[in-house]
Amino acid sequence: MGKNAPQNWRSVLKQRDAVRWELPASYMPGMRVPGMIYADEAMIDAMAGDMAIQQVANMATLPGIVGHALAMPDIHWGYGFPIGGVAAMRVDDGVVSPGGVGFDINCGVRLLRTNLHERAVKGSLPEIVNQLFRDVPTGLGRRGKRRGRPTNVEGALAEGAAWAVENGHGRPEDITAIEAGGCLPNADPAEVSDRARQRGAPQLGTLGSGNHFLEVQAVETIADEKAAHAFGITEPGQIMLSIHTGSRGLGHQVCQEFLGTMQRALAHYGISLPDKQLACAPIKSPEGQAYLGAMAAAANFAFANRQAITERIRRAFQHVLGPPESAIEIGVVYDVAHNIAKLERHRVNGKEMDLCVHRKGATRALPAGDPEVPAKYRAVGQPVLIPGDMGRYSYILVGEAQARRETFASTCHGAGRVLSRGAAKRKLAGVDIAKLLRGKGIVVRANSKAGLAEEASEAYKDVRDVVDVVERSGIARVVARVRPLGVIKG
Amino acid sequence: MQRHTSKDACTTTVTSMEAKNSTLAGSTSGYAFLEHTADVGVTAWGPDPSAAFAAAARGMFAIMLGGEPSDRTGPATEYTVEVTGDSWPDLLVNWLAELLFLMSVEDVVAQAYEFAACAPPSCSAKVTGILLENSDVSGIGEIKAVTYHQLMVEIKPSHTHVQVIFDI
Repeated sequence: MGKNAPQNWRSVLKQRDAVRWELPASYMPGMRVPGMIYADEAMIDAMAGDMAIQQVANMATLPGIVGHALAMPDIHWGYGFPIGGVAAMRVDDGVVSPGGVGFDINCGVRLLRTNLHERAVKGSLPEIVNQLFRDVPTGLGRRGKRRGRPTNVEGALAEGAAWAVENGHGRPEDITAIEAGGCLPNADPAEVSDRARQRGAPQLGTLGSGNHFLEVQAVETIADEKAAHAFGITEPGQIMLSIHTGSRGLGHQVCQEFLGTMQRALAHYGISLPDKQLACAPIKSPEGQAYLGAMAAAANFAFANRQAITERIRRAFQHVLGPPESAIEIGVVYDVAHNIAKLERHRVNGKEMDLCVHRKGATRALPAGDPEVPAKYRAVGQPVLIPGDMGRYSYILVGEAQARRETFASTCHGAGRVLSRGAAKRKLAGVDIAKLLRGKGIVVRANSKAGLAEEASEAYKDVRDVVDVVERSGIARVVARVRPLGVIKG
Repeated sequence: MQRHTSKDACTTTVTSMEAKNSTLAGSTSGYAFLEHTADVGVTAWGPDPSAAFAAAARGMFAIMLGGEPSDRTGPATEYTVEVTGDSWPDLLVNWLAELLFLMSVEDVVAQAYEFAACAPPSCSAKVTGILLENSDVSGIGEIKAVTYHQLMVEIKPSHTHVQVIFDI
């Protein structure tokens, strides 16, 4: 770590407006660009002594970084990059860092809409949640794996969600509502090791544990009728589902192996770093190209994973609510990656550039009219999916043009933690979280009580505050808010 | 980052482990959990590097399972774990990552470690473990990976101290 964190970041940061705080490049030797933190005053004060902003400074030392080293309002202390960190590097002379993506490559969120109303499913909710818990494997070991023959993951690595659909996990129209169409084109499955495949093969179609979840939700409020209509969100009470998971052990193994590769290559490329977790290699180097190919393949595996889970959800609803099959409609609103490095073109200081944009706990947010937004949403912009916590609410936003201008079309990815896992457990010792949530009408199924305490509402910022900063900064705006009815945790 | 004091429940677990484990009896081996906002870490120590590496592994499994793997029962299986690393920190990351891999692929929770070598460039140990399905999971579940963030290995003549943060 380059420096110890100051107890008062206000003494270091330059406040640009109510929600923008610049970290000057003079803060730490080696910073190539300033940092920019999107936060309100209370959030900045809450980060006193915290290492997250220090990690923004560390990010800013990476070769080829342009603009600002960015931190979204859900910023919190991570490893290497902070969670909520965004950094864009010039393709020509910049680096790619596996630590800027994270171990869970293409961890992301998929939002599903249904034609069901809360009124119609309320009585069946416990049964639905139980069925989902049975059908979508969660947790560790065999509980967290699919039963049956091992899957040949080659197709998932090369083709992503489309491979899953071709193999019976969903419908062709699902693919039209996924970031990058559910397949990063620069994937190179040959760069994914046999060991990574071994870890990943039994885990396709599984949720995992930690902060991963599957939620049954009801639309609570609609703030933007036009965008909501475009996204298929019709009225309060409409049943929605959110899936939060990623590339499972396959992605973890890819990242672990390439971190080692890049540690060994640092001296060769003359790169020195303030944190070993920022290990990186020039984008155009053999190591950089191999990582980008493997990372894209792992990202495709994650898209296929969320696609396979989608189909399990459809079958679970069908199983509980019964025929006729045509009466239950579950469609994909959108699917976003929030741990990813993508080759994108952005304008920096008036000049178009090819960049490698790292988003670690950050979501792409494209505005209306952008050609990369699916045709059916292009008039309003890209859906941005921001989960909150299991006891309160989550948000659906839409990208704004300001994000293109200042954040490489990026925004936050969630609420962001405020308590460590240990602190959450101590604060909630003796509290029956499941019972507490049941009292709010939320049905919870989880493998571990301790895991529930670590992921309780108290461990997270109020996502409303995070979204408020995003709206005030103009990088995305609220379309709708949903509240949890049923939660499945690993 | 702070190491837990004796007031913390984690340290009670460490004391319990030391008393039960004959391979570490009489030594000063143990571990404690480290607080981290998004993730969690372990600080571990022992009279020599192999004892500290074993203690770090115990701590890693305790995070996932919510307790000591040595408390659990079931038929034991032996595996040979061999990793390489150019430096002590690299060796520690690779050692723990290999145990995670073993758990992920073979569903094995390591319980006991008998080291044949533990110094750069290689670490080799006979690992005895039980199937995960024979253990209860009351911890956080999965550790995704072993990070290099705030990684530390400190070796003194009769004491080794290591620190590692895991991605949850």
